Amino acid sequence: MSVKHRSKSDPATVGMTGHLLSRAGLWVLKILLVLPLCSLIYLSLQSSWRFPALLQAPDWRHWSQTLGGQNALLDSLLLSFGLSASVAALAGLSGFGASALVSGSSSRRWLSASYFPYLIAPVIFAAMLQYYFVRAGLSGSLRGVVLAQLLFVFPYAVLFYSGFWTPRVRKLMAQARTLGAGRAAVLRRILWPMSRPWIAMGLYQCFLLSWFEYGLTRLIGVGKVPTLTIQTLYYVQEGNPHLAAVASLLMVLPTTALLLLNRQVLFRRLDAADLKA
Amino acid sequence: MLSRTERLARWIYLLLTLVPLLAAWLYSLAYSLGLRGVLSSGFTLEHWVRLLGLSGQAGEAWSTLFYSLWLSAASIGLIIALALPLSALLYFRPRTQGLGLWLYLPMTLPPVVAAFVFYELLSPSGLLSRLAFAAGLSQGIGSFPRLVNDPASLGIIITQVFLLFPFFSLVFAQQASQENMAALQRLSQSLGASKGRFFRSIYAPLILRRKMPLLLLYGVLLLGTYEIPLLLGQNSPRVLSVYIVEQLSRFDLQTIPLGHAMAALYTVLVLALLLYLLSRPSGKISES
Repeated sequence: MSVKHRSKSDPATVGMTGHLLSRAGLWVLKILLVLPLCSLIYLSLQSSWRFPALLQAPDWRHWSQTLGGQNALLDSLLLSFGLSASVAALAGLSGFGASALVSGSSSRRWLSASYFPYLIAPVIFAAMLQYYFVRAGLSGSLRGVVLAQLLFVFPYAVLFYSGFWTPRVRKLMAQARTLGAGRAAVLRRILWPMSRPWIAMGLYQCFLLSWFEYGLTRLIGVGKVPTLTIQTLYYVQEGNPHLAAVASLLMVLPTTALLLLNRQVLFRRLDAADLKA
Repeated sequence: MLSRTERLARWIYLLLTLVPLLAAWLYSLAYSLGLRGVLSSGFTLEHWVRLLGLSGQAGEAWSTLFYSLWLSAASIGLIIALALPLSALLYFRPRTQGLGLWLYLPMTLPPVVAAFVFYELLSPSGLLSRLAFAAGLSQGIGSFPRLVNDPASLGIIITQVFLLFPFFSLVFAQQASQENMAALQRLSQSLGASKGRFFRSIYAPLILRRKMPLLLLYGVLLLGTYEIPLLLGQNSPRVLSVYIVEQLSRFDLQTIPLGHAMAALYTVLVLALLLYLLSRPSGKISES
């Protein structure tokens, strides 16, 4: 009934949807949204969770083993971090430079070239590329995985940064040049201050793209590059959901930090694919 | 006019984007035509006939293709069905804006983690089954309905929808704001339209029309999804990516050309969809 009252006082309410979700409905939705994360935390704090048990006392064994370096997860965390940071730095910075060249009004067709490798499933791309990696001696190596990831993270970076090169930015740079500023001064005084937040956000997006990757890393790395995603699935297949939950939570750390610091970055990660060409 | 350096840089850009894809596709195509690989014996269409004929392994390939298309379409359809009303709520009712932070939670989950956690939630020994047992709705593991590795692929669809519907709710709400839907609603109500009619005839069609390119792009991305069907799917039918990886990594060398043929076909399919999308004016509504 309260919904009816609100809809009268608020003329901009859509009738059908207003009646569908009440306050209780919203709380159910919130619980459903947070349930996976809570389940992961709970699973990581169990060592044996037999059916039909529901709630049991927490057991910190897997966390103490992980933090004490008694399993492979700490190494995987460092490996994943190093790999993703390298991919992000290489793809992000080169992608920013490339986006300047291909996102002008006359170059939209060039920009569309970035959609092709980005939309092909990385695991299928890797399956088709594997021959070249084997021939080059890069299969099963960290260098190979970095290179393979670059092949789809770089196009993503170009797509992402193309949003920065608005006519306003270009006009400002051109005006400064006309007024006598040298190339270095334009870069230092105009481009760098304007692009700094974009560069940071883009680097983080590239980092996450690499951080989340599984299929391509498994195929090109042939199991010899045990990132956190690889370890998670390894523990799942081994029938150890508790260690898989610990690995999953380590993987969720950077994204959860983002949620608290700047949630728009998470949104932009998915939105950057919108057609710009 | 472009300088020499800029022209060179553009060619390097193409070298990094299109050339690896082209090289990969050409290799797969050559393998599928018998021109490459350990068992190659010269040009042949035999593998393509095996893949696309209507019997034996060919039936499996077709079911894989249609199954992937169906999964992608079903997920996008459900995402629209959930995200449209939720976006209207977010836009028209400021009180629901508090939902914002919660809607970002699924975006923190990598696909592999989402697949794992939904397996733990929906499997016969998972949380949902335990709750059903505790509530007296199920007799135990055996009597709980299969929601993972199931014939209807419910586990895959639920997981994919969970990961993406919050994002699309926010995207649609943002679009509603750009379209100034509140003014449109006032106008339609002054002309006698009910709220339901406004939602059906103006809100939903306008938002969908504007966001169709993004929805189609996500349809293409879901077509190649790997981790979620790998954990939550059945052995048969499989999605394209799982099928291709399996064909390429079996001990039976006869299946490798089939995997390459399917990979080459998938690439052409994605490129055709993308060319179609790029040829349309992005989200614009034609007056004609």
